[in-house]
Amino acid sequence: MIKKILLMGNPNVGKSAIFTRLTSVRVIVSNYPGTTVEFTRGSIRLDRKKVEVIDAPGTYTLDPDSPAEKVAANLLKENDPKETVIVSIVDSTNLERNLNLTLELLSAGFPTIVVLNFWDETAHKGITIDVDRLSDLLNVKVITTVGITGKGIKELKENLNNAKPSDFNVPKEQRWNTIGNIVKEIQTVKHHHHTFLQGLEEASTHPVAGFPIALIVLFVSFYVIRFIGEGLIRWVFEPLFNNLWAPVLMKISTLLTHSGFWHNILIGNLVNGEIDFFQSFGILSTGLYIPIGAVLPYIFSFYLILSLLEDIGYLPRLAILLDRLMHQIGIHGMGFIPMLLGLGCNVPGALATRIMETRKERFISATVMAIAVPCMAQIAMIFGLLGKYGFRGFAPLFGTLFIVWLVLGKIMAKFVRGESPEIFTEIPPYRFPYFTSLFKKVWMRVQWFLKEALPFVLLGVLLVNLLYTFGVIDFLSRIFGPGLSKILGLPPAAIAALLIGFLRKDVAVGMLAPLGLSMGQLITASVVLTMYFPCVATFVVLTRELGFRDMLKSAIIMVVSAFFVGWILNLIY
Amino acid sequence: MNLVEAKQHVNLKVISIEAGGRAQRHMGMGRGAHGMSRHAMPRHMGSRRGLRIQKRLGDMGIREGTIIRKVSQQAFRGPIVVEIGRMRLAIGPFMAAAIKVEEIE
Repeated sequence: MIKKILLMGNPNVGKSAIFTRLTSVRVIVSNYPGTTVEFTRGSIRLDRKKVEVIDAPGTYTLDPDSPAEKVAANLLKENDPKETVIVSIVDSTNLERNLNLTLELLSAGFPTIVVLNFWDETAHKGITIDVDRLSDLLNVKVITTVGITGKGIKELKENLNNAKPSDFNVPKEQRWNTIGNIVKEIQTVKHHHHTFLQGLEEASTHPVAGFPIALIVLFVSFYVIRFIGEGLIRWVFEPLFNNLWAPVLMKISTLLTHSGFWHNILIGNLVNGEIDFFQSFGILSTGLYIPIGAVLPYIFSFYLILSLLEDIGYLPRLAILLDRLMHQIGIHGMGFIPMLLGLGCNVPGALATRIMETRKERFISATVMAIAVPCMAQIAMIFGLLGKYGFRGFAPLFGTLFIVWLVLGKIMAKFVRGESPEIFTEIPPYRFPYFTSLFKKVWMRVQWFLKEALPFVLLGVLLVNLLYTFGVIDFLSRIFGPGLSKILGLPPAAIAALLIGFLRKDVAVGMLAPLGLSMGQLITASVVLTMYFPCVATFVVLTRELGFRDMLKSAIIMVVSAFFVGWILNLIY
Repeated sequence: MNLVEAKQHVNLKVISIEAGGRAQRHMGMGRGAHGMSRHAMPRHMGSRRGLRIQKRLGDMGIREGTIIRKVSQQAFRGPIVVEIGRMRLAIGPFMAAAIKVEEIE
């Protein structure tokens, strides 16, 4: 009786797409190797029985080289061949390399089904594969699929119950020869002319042309993100909050007689008798405005562009172009992916450090990401506060963070023990994104933000009010305030923002709004808030990924460098 | 001739993958992964480290006799992109230097 189905395959062969189709559990699907670093569980019904399905991280071999691959290899060891079916997913445009893992899987003795995914692409690329012959040779069922559209999934489901172990077993030394012979027998490739996409592929990793292309892509991305983000705020969310929500809140305010404990908690302070969504700081006013009015539009626009770049397959190319730069901080080009994901939210960024092979690389990439990469929620709030200064405000802020990233990275590259291996990664072909799956992915990420962030923001705002009400913040600013003013040049009340920054950085930046800071102070405060410590969600994930001791080291680096850099900024401004 | 020196856009046959030199240090198999310094490592492990390069390239389908093409090479000893069949692979310069190739028709 089968109890478990393991989806295994090389990186970037579409395991997650097939998993989503099988189980309707949604997972992130992208066009670069290493999207899935943890296994995801889901379930399907087979003959009215619930069967667990596991989406394993991609691996080239059962003898692993990176932690993500180890997760996949361990899955096999932990499961019983009598109760487990393996679905070996193969990129049908890349049979030869993919069959290596398939043969390894077959010799493990599990009942197996081989799935040839990306079947639609074989036609474009002039490849024909004799599926029946492959099935005969390997002595297992072979099914062709297009994971992202769902083609062939039904057939896969119907065959899961009849999966049998194969008697196909070749010794390790002869495996590649055997694969060569199999491929020769079943596959014919027609030579065909270069397509437009292939031309682009060449250009985007060209040592000269690649850089202007990358600059244009990044520049356009940044502008589109800001255009959509600001557009949504100005034309949708601000009117909604000002015209619909504010009158409701004013009624509640009147009911509460404009003052008192509950008024402070729910509505906050009225500014000139009106609600100011940035400054009032009640749960229903600022507490809702920060996540929904100010941050959500940017989360949406950032993930829209990121998902588009992911699905097209541009990120690994950018990793190649940036490889030299990344080696300055002791990690190779793929280390750029955790940084980029961290720009959306540091939590997935921290998880993505698993695509790096060594402990040294993971330590450096996680630490510099947590220190110098602000998340989109925080950036959106910074845009809100510094927006009126334009470039004059943003340039010193992001410039400082970049310098910190580079200098700290360089220092760590020198002193952290361990190896910095070179880049060694597959580069997927460019693919036209499927827009339904693209929007599903964006929606998933937005949902994730609402589910994970919204409660914390509300909690943060509640906590701010309670701490003020019970005089904790006054107490703390009396003790730490003078030192804070001396080192960072910030008013004593800014200590509250540093306190709340541990919970949510966007709320912390929001707390700067009522303080009436100058541009220099805002820049200093934003930089310190980015650097001094990760938010609690990131902290938990980092501790899990790095281990307690390394997290402690990382935290010391964060606190020390944050106050040092803040002090220097204070001297400048 | 190694892969760094080889011409672009011609078919290259892999003659050997050299298990030594600087490349293995850049494979992440020096001291960190074993938890001991390079000097403290027993001598017999030297050859094992060398085998790592062959293994990782082998997992991706590059071994003696494989036909590959160099597609691009980044400036200042940056990564090299090679094509094996329809797969593209980015390889760091030290590892590429360990791959000895010859041009074929």
